[in-house]
Amino acid sequence: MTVHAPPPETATATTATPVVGTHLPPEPTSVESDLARAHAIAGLVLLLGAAAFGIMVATKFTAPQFLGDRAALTWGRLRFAHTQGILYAWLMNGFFAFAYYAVPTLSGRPVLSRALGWWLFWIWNVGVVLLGWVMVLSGTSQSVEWGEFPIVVDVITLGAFLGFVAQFLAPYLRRPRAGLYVASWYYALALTFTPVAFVIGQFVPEYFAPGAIGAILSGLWIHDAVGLLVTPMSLAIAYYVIPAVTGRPIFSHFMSLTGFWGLVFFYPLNGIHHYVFSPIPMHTQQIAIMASIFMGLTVIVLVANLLLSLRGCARLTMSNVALRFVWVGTVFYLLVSLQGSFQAAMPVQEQIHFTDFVIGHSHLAMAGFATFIIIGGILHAWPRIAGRPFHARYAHWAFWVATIALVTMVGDLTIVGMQQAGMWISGASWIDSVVASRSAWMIRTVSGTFLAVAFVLLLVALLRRPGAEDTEEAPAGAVTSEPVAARGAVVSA
Amino acid sequence: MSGEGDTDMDAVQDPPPAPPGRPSRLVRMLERGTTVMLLGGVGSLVLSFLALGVVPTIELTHQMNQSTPASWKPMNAEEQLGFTVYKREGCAYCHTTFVRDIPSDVARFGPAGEAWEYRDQYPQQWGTRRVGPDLSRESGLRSDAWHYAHLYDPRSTVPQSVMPAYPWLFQQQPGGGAVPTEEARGLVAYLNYLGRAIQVSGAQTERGRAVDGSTATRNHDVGPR
Repeated sequence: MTVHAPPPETATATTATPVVGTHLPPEPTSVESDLARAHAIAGLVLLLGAAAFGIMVATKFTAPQFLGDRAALTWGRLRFAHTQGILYAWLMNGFFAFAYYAVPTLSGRPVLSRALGWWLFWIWNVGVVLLGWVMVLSGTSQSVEWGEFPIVVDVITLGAFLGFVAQFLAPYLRRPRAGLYVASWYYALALTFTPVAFVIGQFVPEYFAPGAIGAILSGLWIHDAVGLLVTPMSLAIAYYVIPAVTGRPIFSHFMSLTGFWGLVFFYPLNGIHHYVFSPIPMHTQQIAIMASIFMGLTVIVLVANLLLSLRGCARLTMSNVALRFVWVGTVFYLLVSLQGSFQAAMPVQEQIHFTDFVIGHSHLAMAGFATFIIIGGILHAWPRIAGRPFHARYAHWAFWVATIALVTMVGDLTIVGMQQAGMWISGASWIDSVVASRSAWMIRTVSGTFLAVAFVLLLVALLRRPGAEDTEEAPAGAVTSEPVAARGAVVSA
Repeated sequence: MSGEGDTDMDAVQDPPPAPPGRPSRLVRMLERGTTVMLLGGVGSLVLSFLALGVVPTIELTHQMNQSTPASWKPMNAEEQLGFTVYKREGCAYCHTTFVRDIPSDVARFGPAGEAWEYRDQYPQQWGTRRVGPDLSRESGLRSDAWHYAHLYDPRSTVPQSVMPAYPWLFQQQPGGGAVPTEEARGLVAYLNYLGRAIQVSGAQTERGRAVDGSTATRNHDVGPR
């Protein structure tokens, strides 16, 4: 077996060279600890809110009178709050937290400004998340999927996001021609692609592009948010945590390049597959479907590269809960991508579109792939950004509860989705398909509640001071002793 | 410091002038921050919006200009108000408003959606999930009284419905009973606008015709759906 010692990295906080190629330095050189910690905790606390909205929405499927007849707590408005909360309150906070941990090391330069960082923290969490929630619940919203926060919040979001772009791209732009490590590619991609895509998706269908033309742009935005924002920000974490924990380089640089450029080319072409058999021109739909299938092939390469980077590390994935979250999130990524390619195909689309099958798919993507990898990233960074280890026992519990709850939810929705598809095609009365879904909807509510329980456990794991026996054991028996032991030392320090 | 021959690729492709173990020029170019930002971030954005945004927009505009029937009328003020309520309450998240061009959809709901039908909707409300049925062929299907009763208490008309009630669209009367507000009247007007244009003009193209060649009628479920 080839084991590469990491490069002799003697860099100090501000003058480090960017991390290039397949290696990570054994230690992060410069970390914005307090900003990272603030975003991580804010993200997890607000996640409990977003999850609570989700549970309320799910409960209303089987008890439509639940929460009475108040306008602010009606199904439609709560759903807006749920999905927008997951994106802006949880995922983005998690991404920013890890970026404050990783970007200074990866770029070899500090972020643009710490003062700006604190401004952005408050603007994001109050001016975007809390204001957005209050407004959609009180009836001011924008009925654009993945863009339900109203226009005024969109403007604040755009301003704040541009601030984050400046914050995290500035370190890279100080040496624009330098080669970068894989994780940095994904950061640079997401931060340059998203602002313009966001503007087109939020403002053009609302004011300038009606009907079918607006649907084209909405479709592109739905998938640009998932594919060019959530996905690369998650993959940056995976490409950071896996080599950092194992102390070994990424398996293949060629596969890193193939996966990245495949994603760059194919993902932005996926969006129209949300509107197959619609009045949008047929060949536009067909291009989107073909791009979706090529995207699945790309993800096979991408995930194979990440998983092969873990070859021989089975014991490490069992003992290191941060790595385990990232590893399982990566497996979810493969599953959800292959599922996506499969369901984009017309014969499948004809049957399962509009059913809960797709809702299962989106939960596997957001609550599985992205959420698991962010949690892994936060746990990995926690000893450094909080200055003390996390409570490993609670973290392990959080992992198992979350995994079982999520797999149950996705399996449940997938099965009931196929059942709904069959009933619709059979010509049965519409209400029969609603009645037949009841028990599955109850299972969804219960599994969603357990998923929220896992998030509570995770918050406890981070905030509760562990006793001596509750920290992660230093993985002494791991494959590569040197860097891993060094990491273990940080954990128990 | 990168790629010390740790992949097969590096080992194979080293040409003599390059120092041993260095990746090829192409690889070094692709690793650069500028390449990732310009070719990756900006390039793919431009490509995707040209290929799947601008080109189909031009096509659709042309097609709509040709196919919009003379009888088509945009929403009036009352229907506009209803459209606003429809959007605010997230109706589109349970009810789609486009019939797909496939036999099972056309048989259940009626003619498939035409691009021109939606040309006054900012933003479109096609939807991606059907908990309840599609509404794009709703015009004239039910009485206004049925709609008001259904909006006020869905279980009063469809006992097993899971739709939320919208009592705040009604004014409680002192002696019991409720009167629809302007918003409720607008919403029902909007529901009756959905599909009216295609009813008046008939499906225009091959799209939207049932498999037997006739313009499908709204022969979906009898009784409450």
